[in-house]
Amino acid sequence: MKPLMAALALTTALTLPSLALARQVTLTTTLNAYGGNGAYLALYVTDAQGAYKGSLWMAGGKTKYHEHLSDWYRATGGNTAEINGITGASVGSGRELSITLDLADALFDAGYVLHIDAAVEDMRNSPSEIAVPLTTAGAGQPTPGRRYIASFAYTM
Amino acid sequence: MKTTLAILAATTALGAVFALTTLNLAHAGNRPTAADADQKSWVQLVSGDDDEGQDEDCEDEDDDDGEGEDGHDAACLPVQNAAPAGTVAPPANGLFGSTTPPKVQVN
Repeated sequence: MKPLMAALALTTALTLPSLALARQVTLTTTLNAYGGNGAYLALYVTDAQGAYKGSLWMAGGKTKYHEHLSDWYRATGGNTAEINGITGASVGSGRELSITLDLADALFDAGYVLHIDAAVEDMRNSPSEIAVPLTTAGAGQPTPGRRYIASFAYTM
Repeated sequence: MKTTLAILAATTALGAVFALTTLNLAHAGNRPTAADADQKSWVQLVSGDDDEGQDEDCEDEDDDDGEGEDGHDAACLPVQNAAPAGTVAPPANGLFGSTTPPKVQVN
């Protein structure tokens, strides 16, 4: 019995810290009814110094259009390795995109900023249309966009 | 008898010469000439224009209307398109707390 309890305690001790290192976050982006084709959106994170850290989601799979997500493209050079496994369809005018993912706990309250670049075919590019600090206090607070995005919010 | 054989040999020889000459002329007709080469280049240029036309078709054929589908035209896709979500794990960029693929919903 004792070895079993010891094993249980050990696995619990090993599992709990990993659970605490990540939190499930839902990113919700609502688009304006701008009337054009589906919007390409790049969601990515910069650190406190403004340096690109990585991408969270790419809405729009055709690589040839990614250069229109100009801030993201400048930071990554359009490297598809940055968005492998986190790429989906573009988002239609007036639609709402919800992404639920496990984010590292260290991203919150540490100066990291979540950006969204937006672009629509035959319409103007909108780099960093959203730039919102990742904080626990900011969860659930909607942030308005400038052109294609009506609002963005993250919940935990 | 000898005369008959001589005539037969002569006609055979003449026939053979005539046949060979005809064959050579026929081959000469198919041989590429400088003018042919020019024509071929022109044809290739025309063919190149056709290819450009196809590329333009690809550019025009943009069906990214955000209705949940993302029209993948294999002939027009660059080879380095990113792997769609769910097919591989998210990148190990330190942002994700696990290798679980993000769940996405469009309303």
